[in-house]
Amino acid sequence: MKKILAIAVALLFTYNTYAWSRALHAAVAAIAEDNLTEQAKQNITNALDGKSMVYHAQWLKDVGGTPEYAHTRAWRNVAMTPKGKLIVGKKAQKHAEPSIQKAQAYDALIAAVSAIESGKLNEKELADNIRYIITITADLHCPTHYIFTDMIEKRKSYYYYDGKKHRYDLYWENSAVKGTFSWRTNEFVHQLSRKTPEQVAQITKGSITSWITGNAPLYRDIYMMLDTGTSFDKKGLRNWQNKIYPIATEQIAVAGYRLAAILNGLFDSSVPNVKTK
Amino acid sequence: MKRFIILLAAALIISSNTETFGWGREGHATICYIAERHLTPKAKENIEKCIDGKSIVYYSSWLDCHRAEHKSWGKLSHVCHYDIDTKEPIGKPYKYIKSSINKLKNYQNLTDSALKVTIYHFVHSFGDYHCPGHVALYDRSGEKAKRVHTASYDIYLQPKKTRFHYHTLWDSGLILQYHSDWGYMDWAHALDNNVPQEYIDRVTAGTLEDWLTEVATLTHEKYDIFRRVPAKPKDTPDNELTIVDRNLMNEYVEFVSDQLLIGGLRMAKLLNEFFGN
Amino acid sequence: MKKFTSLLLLILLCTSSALAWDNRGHSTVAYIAERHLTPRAKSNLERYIGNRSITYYASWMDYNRTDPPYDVTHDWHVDYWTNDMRTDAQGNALPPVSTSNLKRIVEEMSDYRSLSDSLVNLHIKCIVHLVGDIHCPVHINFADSRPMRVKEGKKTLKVHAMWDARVLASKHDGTSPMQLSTELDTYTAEQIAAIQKGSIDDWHNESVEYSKRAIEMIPQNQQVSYESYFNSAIEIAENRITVAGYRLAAILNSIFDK
Repeated sequence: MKKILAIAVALLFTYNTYAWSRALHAAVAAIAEDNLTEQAKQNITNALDGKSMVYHAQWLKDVGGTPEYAHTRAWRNVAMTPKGKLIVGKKAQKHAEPSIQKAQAYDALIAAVSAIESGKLNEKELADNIRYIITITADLHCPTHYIFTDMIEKRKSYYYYDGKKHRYDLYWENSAVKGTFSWRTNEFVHQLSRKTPEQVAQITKGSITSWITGNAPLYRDIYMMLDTGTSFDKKGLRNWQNKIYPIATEQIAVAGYRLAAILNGLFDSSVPNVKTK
Repeated sequence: MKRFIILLAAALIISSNTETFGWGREGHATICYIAERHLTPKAKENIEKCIDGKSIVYYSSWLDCHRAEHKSWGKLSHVCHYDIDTKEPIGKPYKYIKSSINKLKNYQNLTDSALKVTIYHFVHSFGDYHCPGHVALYDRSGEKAKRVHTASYDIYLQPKKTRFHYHTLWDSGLILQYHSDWGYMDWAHALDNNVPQEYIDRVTAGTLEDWLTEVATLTHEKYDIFRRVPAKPKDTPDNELTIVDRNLMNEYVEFVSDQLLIGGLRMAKLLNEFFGN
Repeated sequence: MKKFTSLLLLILLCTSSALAWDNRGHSTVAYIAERHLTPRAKSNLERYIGNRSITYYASWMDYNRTDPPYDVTHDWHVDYWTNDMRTDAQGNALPPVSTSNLKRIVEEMSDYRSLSDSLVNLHIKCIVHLVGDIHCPVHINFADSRPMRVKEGKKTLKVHAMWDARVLASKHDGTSPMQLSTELDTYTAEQIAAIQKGSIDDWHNESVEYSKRAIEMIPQNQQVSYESYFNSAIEIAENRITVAGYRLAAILNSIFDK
């Protein structure tokens, strides 16, 4: 009996928690796709076997469970010093802090971009590297994917609502947008893919590295937006969420435009490449 | 064990009663999106200039999210009142929407921030007053004004084999029960499909007062839609509640669908008048 | 107490109990079909459904199967495979239910202008739904498929329920049917023409093969996961939905483009 009830509860809750981060990845890919040049879109669709970028938005996370791609599970986060300097390569891998050892998203993204630039990939490698870029660029605009060495404990922040404990990092993956909007993938495009050319130029200015280090100050502030252990009532949660959703939706838009900039550079010969550094 | 079940029941109630004071998010977004599809390019451009380049759909539920921040709105009913003797809308909510409409007629005279908030209020409340049951009938012939009908009680929802808040069924229940995977674009696509101009002219003829009267009449008299499910006290056991079966739900969802379309078309008419020049 | 618990369970288990595809699957089929209607067929058809899109009615049959006057359609959503066909009182095998009803309705509609408006309206709703149903692997009932269960982690699922919604959701949770239809509708004109060939009976036979494969793919230990099942199952589901969309367009064009 208890077992059946447990199944029932599982049915109620599990689908939802996993779903949204999938939806946000799709949103970033869809906004990017909306901003690809015709040539880039054609080349990418061909490389991805006729399917759209949106279709592949979450592929990297889906295959992370298979032995072939097990190493990609370390490609979710980036780590930084208090001064905003990236911790990469061997320095990260040999770091005393276990979570930093696995914070290799930056290295993976740069490697994927360079691999495509080299032009020496076979079909499967090309498709894989495009899909790496799609997923990682989105992840690198999710604030809680950043590990700051001076505030590691902040990554474990949580709050209480309705008597239940909620993790702050999961909040950003699931509820930061969903708590306010129930948009579907195509609706994210309608809502967020509407920047002026000047705004787009501002968002995509600089290099992949400067984007990531440039995100850091805002993302540090976002960690500070929650005093861990806070207990919200309904009204309190609503007021807190009202501060978060404009930031969250903006990050999704920014990620989409930057992903488009990377891919336009790589797959449209008339568009200059985004510099990695 | 018992506690576990109570928890489970609570979870069910929460998951089914997310929105209790107007259309749910999909309903509001659908009305605003249908309106947006019928804006003239000039009106669309002018409105979006006033709201930071965003779509009106972005703000379709702003009032629900931010109501706590504005004292005068916090207590403002999302139900419009209507006098059955004099056959006219009455009370504060009516005055508010009337005043928003008057302000928008001369929107150039408003400050930027006042204009924004007025738009947020209009696009939300105008939608609410097309929700069945959001125009409440009052009998003021006696000494004390008496509310003739309220949908604030439970019914037994036969297809789901559960009790359900009748008012919530109208607000979001039907929309979610029938098309849980649909976003506002799916709703608009299904309902606002090559609608003939003759139909648009017919449903958008008249004044705000005419429209509120129509919603009041439709929900309470012509369709007799509320009186078919008599109110029962809160503590009525499941098996004695009035049953809403699949047949009745099918009839309801058609009514809701019509109201979403009509509300959107009317909103577009007004916004074109305000912002079309 | 026990009654209360079982009621709760019933609620939970019933919420997603569609008969073949869930509303998202059926809506997606309708979207794909709509995009491949000829302008003439589209405008002729929409005159009969009050200027709504056919997507609005994609699950209409699921929502109307229990109440009169539509309860005769209650069992139209499934088919029985030859080895496990239902028999009548004399022991004679009955024809596949959803397929035979679809065939009958399409035939009646060949001269749709001679039918009453309300009957055409009803037939459209049935065609839109049944073409989706006959392409769903679990709409075919095999001798042992109905009670079959699988496990995803610690959850137990009916094979039927898994195909109704879970397979699609394993990859496309949170994706609206409008979006999903644009992602799936990527076939070339030649591929589409090849898919649209054949009769409803041919399509039924093809569906039987896919249905067998969907069952055979279930791992011995009945544990389904992305690696052991969904990764391959999703390809079948996407294929079936897309193919159903193209064929629905073919049927509706053949009826209304004249």
